[in-house]
Amino acid sequence: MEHSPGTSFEKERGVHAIQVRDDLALATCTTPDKWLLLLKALADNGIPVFHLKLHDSSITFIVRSEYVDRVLAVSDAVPAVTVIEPNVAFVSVVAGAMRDLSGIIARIFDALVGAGVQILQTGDAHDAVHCLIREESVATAVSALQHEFELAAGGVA
Amino acid sequence: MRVMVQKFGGTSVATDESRALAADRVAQAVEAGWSVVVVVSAIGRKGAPYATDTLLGLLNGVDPQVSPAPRESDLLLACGEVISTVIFAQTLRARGYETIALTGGQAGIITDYEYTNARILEIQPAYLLQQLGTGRIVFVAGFQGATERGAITTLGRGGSDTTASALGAAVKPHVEHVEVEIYTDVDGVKTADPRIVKDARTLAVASYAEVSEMAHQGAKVVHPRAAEIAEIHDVPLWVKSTFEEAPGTLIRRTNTSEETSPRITGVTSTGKLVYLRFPLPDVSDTDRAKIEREVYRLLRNEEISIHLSSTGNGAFAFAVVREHLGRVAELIDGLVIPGELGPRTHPPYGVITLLGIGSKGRGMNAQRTLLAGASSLVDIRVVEADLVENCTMVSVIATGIDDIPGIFVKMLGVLDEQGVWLYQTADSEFSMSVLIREADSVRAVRTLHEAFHLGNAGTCG
Repeated sequence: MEHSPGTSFEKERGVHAIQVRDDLALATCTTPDKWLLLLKALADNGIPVFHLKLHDSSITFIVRSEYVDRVLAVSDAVPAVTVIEPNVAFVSVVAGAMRDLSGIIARIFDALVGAGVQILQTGDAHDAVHCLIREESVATAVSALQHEFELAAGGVA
Repeated sequence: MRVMVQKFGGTSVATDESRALAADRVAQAVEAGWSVVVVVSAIGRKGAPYATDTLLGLLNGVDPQVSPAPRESDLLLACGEVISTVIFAQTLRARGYETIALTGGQAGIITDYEYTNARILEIQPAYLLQQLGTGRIVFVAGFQGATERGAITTLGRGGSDTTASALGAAVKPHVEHVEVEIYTDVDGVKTADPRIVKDARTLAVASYAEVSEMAHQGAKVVHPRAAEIAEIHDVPLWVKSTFEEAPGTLIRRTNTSEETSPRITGVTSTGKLVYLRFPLPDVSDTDRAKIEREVYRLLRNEEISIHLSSTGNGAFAFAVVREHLGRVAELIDGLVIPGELGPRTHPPYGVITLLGIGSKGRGMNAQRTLLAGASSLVDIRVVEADLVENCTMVSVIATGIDDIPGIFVKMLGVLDEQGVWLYQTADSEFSMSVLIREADSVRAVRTLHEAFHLGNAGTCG
């Protein structure tokens, strides 16, 4: 029988890319009873926040650098105490079927801790693990992750 | 040729009555002029004689201490779909239609060698197309393919949805038009689980990304892998009910969605999770990273996935599936991790960290006794994890989140007003999630569904 040309169907499995998102700032609100008010005030002022994390006596979230001054102004107005760490970046390890793959975060820690990169925050979705690091460490982190996951040097989006 | 690929799940072909209704759907498509490919799952669910879980139980029951070879597991598991495919084909044949039943391999589905979770490498649809060309209805056993050497493989979870979607993609270049219909026991993709939210609305149209995200976050309508394949090949995917006449949900590219993006798509809940938080208030960043790395390494060795990871601000935390808690406790409770070295000239010569897990901390107590003799030489830092055992994740699915200001804070505020305690949050391009007590899950889903006006009386974003 004559065969039709084959068709490639599925996404690649496993880690297939490293992504970098820079020009970010890490905000820490250390006024636990005001965090919801602060987030509402930020939303009312049209300031997008993401990667919100709840801690024992604080919250952290990420904003784009261009919003830092406005975040501090809104925080003062609430009033809440918010500390900004500027010049941070997300380095994300992107994979297909992430939740079927155990151990990716362990390998990320192996690679980044081994390379002396401090991980400020982590997060995960079904297709990626995100690590917040200082911008000065991005090149080292990307190189370490490419090596760990055997990605070509060009595999950064 | 216009091809309709119809997929029927186990409940749709489990009884004579349901099979008759499913057969009606096939007959309607044929009478409407479609060339029809029918993908069938194994009959019934666990407990039914030929259900996948029943077959697996038979195999594992031979000797629970000896794991079956994956290749032989697949050979057995594929039988459930073969049986239901032949029986369903015979149902249509008895109505006077010309039919042919094929295994996945016979339908041209070529996979890799990853038994029990094989990936489709290619599909050679020539024989299937030839059979359609003769006017036959082609029945294909779902959930399976074959390696290039002919060994039967299974496709893993959601496998029959994947088969249907992939067959649609395979025939698309060779025919005038193709659509895929996934038949199930609900009438489409809902804004929430209708067992939880009575007025959950059926979406008329949804994007592949929305449905994929909903599936990843716990909705059980279409497997995300099937949605991904349909998206890659731009194949329209319908979700319809076998049991009632309703238009269903059309899944296609975002820019053709019924609602202009952005919109809030639905609310889901998923997972029986345990949340572990390790407080490390006076630990250096270097030592925290080492401790975290050691914990993750151990979990990796046992292939235990973690979710909702968080670090920094004097702690690290993550969630695991509840069934893994016992093993996690065995691995971590009593774990000793060397930390930073102190001076070489006098004690303490360094610090070691001893981890424990809540009331399960027998290992930590035993280690603490063993380490007592060393306490004059090194600092012993004892870290007991806070444990929240009965958690679940509730998510709001949305497109264009960045363009809907305050959506996340609205979600958090609504739950706060309801007194729902939030342990952790996560957000991505298409969803915002909170980790809460399982006991609050139903209330949280209903409240969020109402707050975002997602029901039949609402405006849906």
